[in-house]
Amino acid sequence: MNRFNFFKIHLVKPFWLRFIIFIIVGLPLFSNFPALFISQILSKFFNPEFALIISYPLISFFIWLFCLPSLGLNKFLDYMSAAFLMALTTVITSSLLQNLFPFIFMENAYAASVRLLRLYFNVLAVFPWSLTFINSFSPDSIINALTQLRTPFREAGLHFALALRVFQHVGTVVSKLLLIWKERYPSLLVMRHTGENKKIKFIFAWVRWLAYSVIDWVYASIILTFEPIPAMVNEFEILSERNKKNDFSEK
Amino acid sequence: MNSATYNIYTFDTFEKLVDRFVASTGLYFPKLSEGKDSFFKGFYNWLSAEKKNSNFALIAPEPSQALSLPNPAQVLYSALKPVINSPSEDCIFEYLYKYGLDPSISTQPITTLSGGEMLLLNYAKAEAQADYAERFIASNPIFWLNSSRYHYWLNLKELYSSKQKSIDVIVLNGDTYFDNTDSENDFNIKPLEFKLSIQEPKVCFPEIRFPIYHAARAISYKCHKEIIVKSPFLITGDNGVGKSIFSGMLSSIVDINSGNLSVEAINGAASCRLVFQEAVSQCFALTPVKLISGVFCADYEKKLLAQNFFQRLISEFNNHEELQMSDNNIYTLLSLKIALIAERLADKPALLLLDEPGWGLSCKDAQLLVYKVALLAHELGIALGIVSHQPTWHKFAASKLTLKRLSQNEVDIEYESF
Repeated sequence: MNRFNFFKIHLVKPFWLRFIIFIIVGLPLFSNFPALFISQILSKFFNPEFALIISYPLISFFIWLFCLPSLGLNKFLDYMSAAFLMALTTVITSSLLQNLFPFIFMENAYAASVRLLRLYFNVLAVFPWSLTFINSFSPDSIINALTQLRTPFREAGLHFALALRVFQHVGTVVSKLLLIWKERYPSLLVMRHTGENKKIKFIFAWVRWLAYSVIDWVYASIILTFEPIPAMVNEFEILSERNKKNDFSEK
Repeated sequence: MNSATYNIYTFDTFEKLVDRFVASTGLYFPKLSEGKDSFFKGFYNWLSAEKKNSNFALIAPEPSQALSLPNPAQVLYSALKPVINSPSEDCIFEYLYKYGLDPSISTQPITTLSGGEMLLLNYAKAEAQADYAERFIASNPIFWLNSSRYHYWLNLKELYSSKQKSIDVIVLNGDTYFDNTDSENDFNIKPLEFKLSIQEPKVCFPEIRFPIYHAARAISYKCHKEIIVKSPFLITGDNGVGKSIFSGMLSSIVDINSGNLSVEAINGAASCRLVFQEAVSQCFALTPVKLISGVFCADYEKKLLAQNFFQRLISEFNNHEELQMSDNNIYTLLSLKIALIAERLADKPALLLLDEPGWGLSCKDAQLLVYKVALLAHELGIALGIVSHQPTWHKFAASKLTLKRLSQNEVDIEYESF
């Protein structure tokens, strides 16, 4: 197991180097430049259009390889199942909207398909990358490191640490809510009580239930994520203040 | 130098307790029981409030609320950092040991700890902060503990007193430890029998490799028997022994890896429903009315039934001022608990489990609620189980399942009928 430690990004120290590596690896997700660069190289061997199309899955594949050693296979597959669900939902919805309202999306069919393909692979890569990024940093280590700084970055860094912890907390909240949901609706995607509704009536009831469930999930996730923020802020302030005092007294 | 004071404040509702806690600490601890509008308003108030001096150790109304970091090792490391330059692993283990916690939990995610373990971790953290915290404010600091662990509180109290620091304790009326004014009411409930089959169920929790390694663990319940259990019954045992996991297995939210666990009731049903100890989160930030309407949106008959049960249970609390105002969109933890119970009763399961039903309620309210729920459940042929270590529930129970730890991964179950 230890021979793979070299490839585990979350073990890279110091934390700012880890941060820089994450940004470099995640760059293709925010900029077109890396995909175009790869497609230029590939176009020497393939048709340029095919080269551009193949560059997107290649980038996603590279990002998966980057995340895999840290996450381990089981966690990686968990993240990927959520990523596929999100990518398919996004692309199918976009495609439907594009066909329903063609006057809004003024582009030809080929350009639209390439855009959707890029979107699909981007979502597949963004999901594991961002979750690995969020969980690879420990907020308390950041605070402890920042107290030794005397620059304006210190305040910004404390805010970054807090934001990071809040994002980490989202994962906890979702798993907690999922357990509660499972108790209430064991089938997860179908309501527990269907009454004696006929098929058509049941479908209407189910669509309504699904819509309300999405709203409930959004509110519950927001509220339960926000809930501990005051306590977190308090704790981070105490940590920062005490460490600062100790640091000054040592000097 | 501060002069040490020890104050105990008691309240009759959870909402008043949280108000007091917010006033003492200057921290906004949201009253989720009052619904999402109240939550966002309160959050805005916190954002726009002036910062108060926050140099105190605290135990929040819910033990997880003041544990901001992901695992016990990080919580204790951060609490110790201001006094010890680089706290070692051994030092962290020592603090866990001191409060009866197994060092193996140091890397376990906070959210997977039991209520009692979280409270003990709060104790360890408060001890680590004792040198630099000016005061100690503790809300319900005993509620989640088994009576064999009360001495940890005494040790902590002694420590703060010896350092001349004030302690404020905020509890609900009838708290087992601080305000032991248990009512002498006789709760007469005719027992109801059901069959419980336990065939050495085992639950495995896989290893966690990211972001921090935590070894795989398993809990094996070493018991192979069929029991005719008399309801209401009590599921009890020490902190962290696996009571909540056992209730999770019964209600099918925790998957059993081997063995079996099943119930069979006289009403023919075989399912089990559970009201979690964190009843507030279980409502998904919904009001009682919306909760019942949402769950039964496609089943009008059951919806009417649940509404009827809700009204019937609410009417039992005639003297409860705040609860009677629930029609005016003022919701309380008690009304949320009643809504969750009414929803489950309308489902007519074989067994209804209430995990720590007394949390967030005064002793009087908790006892009245459980008594009335037991009567209603038995009327419907539903058995009732109470998961708790609070001695107050013994007078309700017709039988008891005691979970005892045999080794780190093995638990024995003893049945006793009264």
